[in-house]
Amino acid sequence: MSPSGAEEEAAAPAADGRESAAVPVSVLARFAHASVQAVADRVGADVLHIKGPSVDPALNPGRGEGSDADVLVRPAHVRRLVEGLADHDWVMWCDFDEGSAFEHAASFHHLSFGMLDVHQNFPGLHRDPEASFEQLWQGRVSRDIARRPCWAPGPVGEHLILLLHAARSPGKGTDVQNHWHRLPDPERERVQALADGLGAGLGLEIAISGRVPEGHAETDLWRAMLGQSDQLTTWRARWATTHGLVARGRLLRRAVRVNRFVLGERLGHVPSRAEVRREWWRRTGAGLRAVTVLVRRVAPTTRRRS
Amino acid sequence: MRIGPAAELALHAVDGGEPPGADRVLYVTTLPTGHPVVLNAMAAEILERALELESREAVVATLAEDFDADPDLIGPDVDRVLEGLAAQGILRLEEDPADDGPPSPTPA
Repeated sequence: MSPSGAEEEAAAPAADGRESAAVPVSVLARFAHASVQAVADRVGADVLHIKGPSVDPALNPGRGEGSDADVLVRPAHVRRLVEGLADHDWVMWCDFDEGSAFEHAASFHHLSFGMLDVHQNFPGLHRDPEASFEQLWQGRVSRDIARRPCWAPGPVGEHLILLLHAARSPGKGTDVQNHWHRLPDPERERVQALADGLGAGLGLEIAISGRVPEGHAETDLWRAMLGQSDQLTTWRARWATTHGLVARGRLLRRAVRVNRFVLGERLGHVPSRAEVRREWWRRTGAGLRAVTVLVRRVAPTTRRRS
Repeated sequence: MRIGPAAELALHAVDGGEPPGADRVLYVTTLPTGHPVVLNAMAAEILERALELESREAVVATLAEDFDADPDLIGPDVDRVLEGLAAQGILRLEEDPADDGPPSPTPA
């Protein structure tokens, strides 16, 4: 089975001894949701199921069910959930600091259930992940996935999550229609109030308007999330929105860390230590060259000013 | 025979047939980990009744009634499916002590 999770099917034995049959990927995604909830219950981790089959179908006409599972975990419970998943045959493919530059999710793969993304924060709700989770948790509802009760955000939280996802994923017009344009005014006001309370107003504005407004403190960050920035600008945006010496030191180390998963996909095999080392030097060199170019570009202006 | 789930289960039915239910397929797996098993419409019917009724005899009796069939004829088929599900780690089958020997004396 492909670790990508897309379009995959798993062979399943028939209970009465007939030939193996294929399990549709939409069924695997449901089993993945049920599995992670079962793990979370065992280890005492709070998780909210987001996107795909966890979304209330009545709120989501015209949308497919997705090919993998996504959960948002209470930040304080990340470690126990990750350990629990490892104990139940989920293999980490991509750690939080190996995925996107924003470290919001880690990817796991199960031989029978396919792919799972565990989000420790959600882009747009990144200002205070713990407070954001708690707010969503307070409004949670139980939703059966594969006849297994799972926690999902309430309707208002669900609207906001899907709109923030649409904000950084162009082409999600159906989600914006379903979770904003089709809502009655009082429901929109509740979504707007939740977004404002969680510092997600800009993300909501981007989802609705389809463009990143100028002059906001997080304008560069959202451009980076949309892939509209080069690597250096992305890291500058992250630097500007990362506060504290420890956090910035960690960010610097992260900037040159090699993503073994991405490198492996590029090479077509699991990278050796030498290949990881070579990639580290390449990233570090590229970063230094980019900074040098930036300094050269800025320096004449600075001299003229002085 | 008493029946129960051998582990926590996840189940999802897909019905693409016409008339509704004709091509029903039920996927089932143990949780938190396991391997999905696929059941045809009749095996699905047996599993769902087994989970609800928790008795082999009740499954056979209700199937016979609902499908107008002879319990002696469908009994072996039910047993084969139940044993298959037990072998997959989905069901736990236990001989009912009440089935063996004379009934226990009822307290006065």
